[in-house]
Amino acid sequence: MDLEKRMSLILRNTEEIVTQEELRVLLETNTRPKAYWGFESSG
Amino acid sequence: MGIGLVPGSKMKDMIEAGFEFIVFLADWHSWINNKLGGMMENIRTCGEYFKECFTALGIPPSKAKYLWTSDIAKDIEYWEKVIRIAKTASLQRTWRALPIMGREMSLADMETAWVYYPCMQAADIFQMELDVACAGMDQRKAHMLARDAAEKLSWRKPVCVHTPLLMGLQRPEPGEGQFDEDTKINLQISSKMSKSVPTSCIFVHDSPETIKKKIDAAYCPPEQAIGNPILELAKRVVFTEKKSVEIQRPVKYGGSETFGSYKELEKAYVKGNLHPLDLKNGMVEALTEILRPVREHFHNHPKNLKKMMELEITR
Repeated sequence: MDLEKRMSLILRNTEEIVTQEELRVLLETNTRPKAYWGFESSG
Repeated sequence: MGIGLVPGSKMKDMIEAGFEFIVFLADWHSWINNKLGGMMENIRTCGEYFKECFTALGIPPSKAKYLWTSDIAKDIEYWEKVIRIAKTASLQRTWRALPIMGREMSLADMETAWVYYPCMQAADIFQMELDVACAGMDQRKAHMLARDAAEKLSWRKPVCVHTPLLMGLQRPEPGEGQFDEDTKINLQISSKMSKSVPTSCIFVHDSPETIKKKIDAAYCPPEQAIGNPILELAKRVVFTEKKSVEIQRPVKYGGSETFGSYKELEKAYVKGNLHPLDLKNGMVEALTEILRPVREHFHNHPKNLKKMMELEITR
């Protein structure tokens, strides 16, 4: 997948990216970066 | 919905964009925050329920790694990071990054354990060696704390991806709490869809009848897009999962219509060409379809959902 496609997938439906420039550099230099989402359990 | 479908679709985007993804079930954090009576057993049940929901929504353990705080908290290096981060930030700064913050509280009513929360949240990122941290907008302060700590400790700064918070189904009201200095973010956090107000919130396991009942009762001002929770659902949930949405309508009111984008739908609604009732019916149908895999999963594996329901009743 090309860089622009990866960028647009990540950016869509977001409110804020800190920072877009850093994200771009990350994608340029790392094909398999690591990400997470944390969830607090609550009923 | 706010913790299910919005994160679900963003996590799928990240996986598709080539990320190694961790779904982090924060059992210790929930314990600190006194969730589910502060009982670890209940918190674990809820975590298992989340794992099943996300799996049904297209993020099975083969596509993402599921990790608990308990898994990483076994390592003494984790706690060293917690302390190192705590040493970079003032107590005032850490306090502001707390998700529990909002109500005016006296020092006597605050638990000391709470200040560990943002420090652990930041340490999670470094312990798992993450490049990107994703969360809703209400978590941005903890992420900023992590970025500042990274700068001071010469650790790798995480990129942060923040999604908007889904508003509750009721009419939004400027909340009592002060969550953020930014008025817009503050309104978003205080009026977000909250599991503690069940009528404001659609659960991913809700039956089609319950979905209909909740949407029918929801606030949906005619010809108004801003502050309209039903249009929010259309934008943030339905159109991220579906390319087009058909709204069925009796012929005498113009007949069925298919919308190829959220913008088209909003335009028709604001012009008065789409009645709130028809919009609601269309959203009920779309959500019922999107959530079908979750219902089917719990129909076949009811154990953890049943336990969750019992926790709700005894609360």
